[in-house]
Amino acid sequence: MLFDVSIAFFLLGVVARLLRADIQFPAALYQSLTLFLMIAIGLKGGVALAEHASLQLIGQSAAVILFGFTLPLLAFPILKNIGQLSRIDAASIAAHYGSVSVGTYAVAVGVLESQNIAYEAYIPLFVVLLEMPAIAIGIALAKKSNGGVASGSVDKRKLTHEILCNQGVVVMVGGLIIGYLAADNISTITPLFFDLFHGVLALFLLEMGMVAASRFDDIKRSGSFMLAFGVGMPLIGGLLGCVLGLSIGLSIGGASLLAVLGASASYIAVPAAMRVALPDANHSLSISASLGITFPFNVLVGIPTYFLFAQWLSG
Amino acid sequence: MLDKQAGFGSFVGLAVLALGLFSWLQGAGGWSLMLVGVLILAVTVVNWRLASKQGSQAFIPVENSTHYGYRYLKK
Repeated sequence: MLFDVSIAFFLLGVVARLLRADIQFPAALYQSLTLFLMIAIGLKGGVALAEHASLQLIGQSAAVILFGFTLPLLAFPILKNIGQLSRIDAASIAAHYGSVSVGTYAVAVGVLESQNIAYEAYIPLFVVLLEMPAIAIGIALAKKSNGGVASGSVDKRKLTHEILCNQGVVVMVGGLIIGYLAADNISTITPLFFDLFHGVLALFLLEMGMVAASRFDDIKRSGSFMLAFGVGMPLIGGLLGCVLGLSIGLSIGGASLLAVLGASASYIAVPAAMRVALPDANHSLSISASLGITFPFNVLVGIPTYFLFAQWLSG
Repeated sequence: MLDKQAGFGSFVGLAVLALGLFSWLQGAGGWSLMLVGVLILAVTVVNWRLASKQGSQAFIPVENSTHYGYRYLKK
């Protein structure tokens, strides 16, 4: 069973919140930890891109973008027809589940590295590529409703800015470019961004454990459907990600990471974009499902399961 | 008779439970997956029983609500 020591900090955060222990991370520190992880992931990806850039990567990237369009289209009918959510809420949640969580990806990288499992280090490129298609599909699905979205009232400029210039995209693309260009001189910053990665990840997960536990009350209100969806959808996305990863020639570790991307739900970039694009959607519901159900599920159970999927599928 | 949501919850719960059992039999852990499956089944059954007693779904979505999207129906 894959288990990284940093995941123990996630459990500590959950327990601390349930015990109502007075542990408080300054908001600025949490923000800094998130940025640190994004920069570190981007840099690692950039260095790997410089070493492995090939034409094959273009085909892989195209397949990954297609995957990003497919996931929300799978989630939407489940949410609308079975969950009986309004069209706008179903579209918003589908966008969250079609996009990716950089935090979950960071945990998966930490787990694979701690177990010395090899993976294609250029996968951060796929993280960036998977951020955007789901947002576009989510908005398109919501716009089909009659009164759900006042299309005229959406500030398209602001929305485009949110989609293309959110902190995840800017910092990770920046990290990828810097890593790519400075691959030979990266050693001066590796002690900070590479060597401290696991320690920072542990602090990040401590905070995320407390955040996830604080959402448990919201989940109780959401009922059994959201619980089942928050666990079932990652398993569907994870399985598809594994199949796709292996079919485009990724290793077992790489396919596991693509599975994690397919399984994770955004809680930073998409909520910000949805607040602009679909102001009438129930944002509490999507963030509670994403942070309170899917993130803990992926961190504690999903990541080893997707690795297992990849192992089974590769024979 | 199970409604759509309870049916979905039961299906996912059983699928997760089966996946956990399969992983466990393969010697790859899986107990945590089984636990998640049991949890989903338990929550689904409780929710469904509450709904049956009240003659309606216990938790129903409320469109454009600011109150987490759901309200508890008491009849």
